[in-house]
Amino acid sequence: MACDLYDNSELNPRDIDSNLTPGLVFDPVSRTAPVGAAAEFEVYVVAAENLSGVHAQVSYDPNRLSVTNVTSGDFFVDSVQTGQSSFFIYDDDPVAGVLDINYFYMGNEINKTGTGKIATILFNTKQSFAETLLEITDASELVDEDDVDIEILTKGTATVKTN
Amino acid sequence: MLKAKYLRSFLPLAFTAIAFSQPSVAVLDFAANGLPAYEVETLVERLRSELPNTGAVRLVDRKMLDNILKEQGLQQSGCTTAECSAEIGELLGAQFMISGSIGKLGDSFTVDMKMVSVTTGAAESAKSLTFEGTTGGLLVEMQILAWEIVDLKPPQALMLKRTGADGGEKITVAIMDFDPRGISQLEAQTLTDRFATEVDATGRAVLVDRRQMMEVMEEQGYDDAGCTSEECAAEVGALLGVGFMINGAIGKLGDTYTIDAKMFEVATGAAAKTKNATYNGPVDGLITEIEILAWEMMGVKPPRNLLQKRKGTITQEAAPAPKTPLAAAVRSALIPGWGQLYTSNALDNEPLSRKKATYFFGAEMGAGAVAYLLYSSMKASDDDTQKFHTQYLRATEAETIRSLKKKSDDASNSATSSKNQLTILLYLLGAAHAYNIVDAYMNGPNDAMAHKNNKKIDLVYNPELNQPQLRFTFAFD
Repeated sequence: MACDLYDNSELNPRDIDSNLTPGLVFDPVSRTAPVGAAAEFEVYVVAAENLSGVHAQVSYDPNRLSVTNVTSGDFFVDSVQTGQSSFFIYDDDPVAGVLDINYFYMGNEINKTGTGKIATILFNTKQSFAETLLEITDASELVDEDDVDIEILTKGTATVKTN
Repeated sequence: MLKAKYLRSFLPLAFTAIAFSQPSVAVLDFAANGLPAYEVETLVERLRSELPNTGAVRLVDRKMLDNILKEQGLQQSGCTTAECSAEIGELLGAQFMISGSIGKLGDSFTVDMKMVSVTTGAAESAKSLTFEGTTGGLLVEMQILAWEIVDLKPPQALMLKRTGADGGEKITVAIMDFDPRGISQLEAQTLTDRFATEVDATGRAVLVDRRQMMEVMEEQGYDDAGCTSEECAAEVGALLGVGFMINGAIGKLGDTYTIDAKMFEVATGAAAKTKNATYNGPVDGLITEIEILAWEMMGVKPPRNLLQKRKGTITQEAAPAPKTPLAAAVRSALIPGWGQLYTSNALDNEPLSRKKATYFFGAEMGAGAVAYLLYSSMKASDDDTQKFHTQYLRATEAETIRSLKKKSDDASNSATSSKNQLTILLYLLGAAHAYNIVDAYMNGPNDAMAHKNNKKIDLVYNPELNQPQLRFTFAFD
């Protein structure tokens, strides 16, 4: 029949099996942009418990992409309303193609459990290419209020395509 | 019980009293001039048998008459004078005597008769008739004379027999005045008269005299303009004793005239023939068209001289549509069962085709309704799939993600299931529809039923343009 049904096979990047959490993932997992245009990705922490700080390291191909802008997510923002403050800082190495994002609570004995946005990254496509990969590297870290590492069981990837 | 007994005793007396209140009549054998005696005897016997039907007189038994004549030494045919008749009548106790003669001159018959009062010897009534036709036709004339000699009007049925006397396979027809639409009653009457004259000229019908018809209508309380429905026409036709009635309408729209005529059987009410024409041209051409229509209505080809008189343009001339299997198949392709219905109509409402038409239409409409419901269900589920999936892609909480994912998947499964069922149903519907078309074609009206003049394209002469034209026709029924 000619009438096609809606395809609901696309998965939510945050839809991770509970055995594979906590995780750091991109949303969306794929973007297509014209040459010279921006491609926006969000970085999420998924199902983390007692989280106080995040270090997300994103690697990219510096010949194809450049980081235009990085903004803070809202995962630790609600704590501001309760008198807590958070700290967000990023560092981009455009030669190596590595972006380090740090986002954490100021002070001790503060943590948060759940899923939330860490940052929004704006890439710019430099040239035409079929596909290039973005990765959350192994250097990424999740820490609790005692600065003890929380193992990251899922590290997401994403692709950028040009048209 | 006693009352009934008295009544039963009284009834024969009452009938006798009524019978003797009528004057008695004896009919002598008529003199034969130029035709065999036995033929005259037969004709007079018909007169005798009709006289009691008038209810006006009581007929004296023929045997009694013969005995008296024998006693008097007379032959019936020998007693031709008024005096002799009166004398015999007196002996019979009759009040009136009828005598006369029947002659033949060439192809004509002459009948002369008179009714003489026995008491006065005077001729009370006399009738003469000259008749051209067969002896059989003369029998009807004798019946009519039986009524007329006693000063009564003959019944309509008898008068119709008279008009059909010259026999053949003619049909008896009464023509109602055409319903005027946009023209005056008088114009419609004039055109109807012309139509009637031409119907008569075809020699295929015996027409009822307009005056007779008007009388019957008056008796029934209708005026001419008031009897336009088929029910009324059928009623009048039944009273007239005709087999068919013709009614119709003549309309005028701008310069265009429309003529609609319908002949239907009085006994069944079924339309025997319908003719329609739309005419554009001068008024005298309209008269010609009406004359041509009369011939066509009678199923006779109009005479050449009439066709040559044709003026103006006939833009539409409805004839019985050709019935073909292909036409049935096309109809069934458009609407299930239509072809079967078309076949049924072609076969005079053949019940099997009519039933099949109902089944095909019902089945396909039913399947169509189910298909629509399945489509609606599929569409709703698909919309839900999209809605829940969109929410799922945006969700951040694990519980919400799982819940929306489940909802989206359930809706997707439901949509897929509906789609599968719909696909199967549509295949079945397609097969049923194909079968409906094939059935319409295979069992469609055959060539014998097809109209003889089954021309889609023909060459016609257009007198207005003074040139031939190629005409294309297609029946929509």
